Amino acid sequence: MEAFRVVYLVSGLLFLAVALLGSAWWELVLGEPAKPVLYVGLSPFGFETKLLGSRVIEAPPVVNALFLALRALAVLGASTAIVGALMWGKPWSKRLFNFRPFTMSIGFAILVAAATMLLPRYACSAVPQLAQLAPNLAEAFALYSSGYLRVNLFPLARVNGYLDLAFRSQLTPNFWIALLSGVLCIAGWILSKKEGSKRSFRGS
Amino acid sequence: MALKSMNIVVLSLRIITAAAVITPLAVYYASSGSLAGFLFPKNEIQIPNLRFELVSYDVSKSEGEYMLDLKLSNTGSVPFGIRNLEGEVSLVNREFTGRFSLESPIILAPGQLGSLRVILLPVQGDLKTFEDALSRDEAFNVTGRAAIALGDAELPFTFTAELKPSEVGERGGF
Repeated sequence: MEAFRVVYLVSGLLFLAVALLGSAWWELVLGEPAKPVLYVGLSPFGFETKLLGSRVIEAPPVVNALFLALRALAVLGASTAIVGALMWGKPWSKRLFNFRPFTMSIGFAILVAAATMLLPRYACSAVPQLAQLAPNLAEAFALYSSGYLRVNLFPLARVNGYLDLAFRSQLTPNFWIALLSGVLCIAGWILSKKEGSKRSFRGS
Repeated sequence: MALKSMNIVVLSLRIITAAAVITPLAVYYASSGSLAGFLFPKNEIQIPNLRFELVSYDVSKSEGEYMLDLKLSNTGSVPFGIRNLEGEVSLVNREFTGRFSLESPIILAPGQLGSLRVILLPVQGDLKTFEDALSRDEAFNVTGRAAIALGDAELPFTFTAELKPSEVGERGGF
């Protein structure tokens, strides 16, 4: 089997596993990681928010439908890449390769980075009390961050003091596997181009 | 022949891709009943009710240490407790510093009443100074760290506050 086919095959298998697992690609944990007070998990295939262990917000049906559609597209993209790598040589096999693992993981990272950058700023400008209550909210809602969320007690209890709550926001191993799958599908495409140009050179 | 099979594959992929996008949207739209229910359903956000009341408190003194006994009642809807508490207390205008710690962890189920016992040991100054300052409602600084249990969750945090004795009894819940 040619190197590019192996690369495509590994890329497809990795992305298929990630799409079928459907776990969070980015998560925000407030409190003890094993027993979080607030958990926010997001991926192209789902959204989960838990406060004290129970779900507080349900995504609207339109969002759930989009998540399901994205998962179906990811499974389809990964499956076709696998079939294309295994059945190389058929006239239609090239048509089965796609960059979905790359576009989906990069697109997700860009969207989450933009959302985590803009949402806290928007929330703090829309509700000025929020900026007073949690001065470093924007830091907690970063793509990759850990530390303490400072809660000013004065707006809550008229006490001159603050609480420091441990938080962690991060891109999970599932995201990195999806990104690796994306990088591999680009590498496979480059290798297949090189292979093609070698063959046409030999032919001439 | 090769061109024909390729066209079939391309067409099939396009149809499957379109179906993968349209089918979930159609199914969810049909199950929600209306466009408003599909786009903006009326969801009630279930925020757990965290509330407790300070029923009574007692301060006893023995062998150079204070024992603060707080009777708490969980009036909220989720279990509430303190697993760990330790820190330092100092007077703002006088020379006194003490260390406090939790005697034993406490977890209260909704509607349950229990005692929270905190031990205070002087580090600098004597307890009489502290006692006198509290009776005059003088401000004191409290810093430390704690871990509270809220339902199935646990929240470790550090805290810093400037308080007056008259303010402490007024607080309860979040």
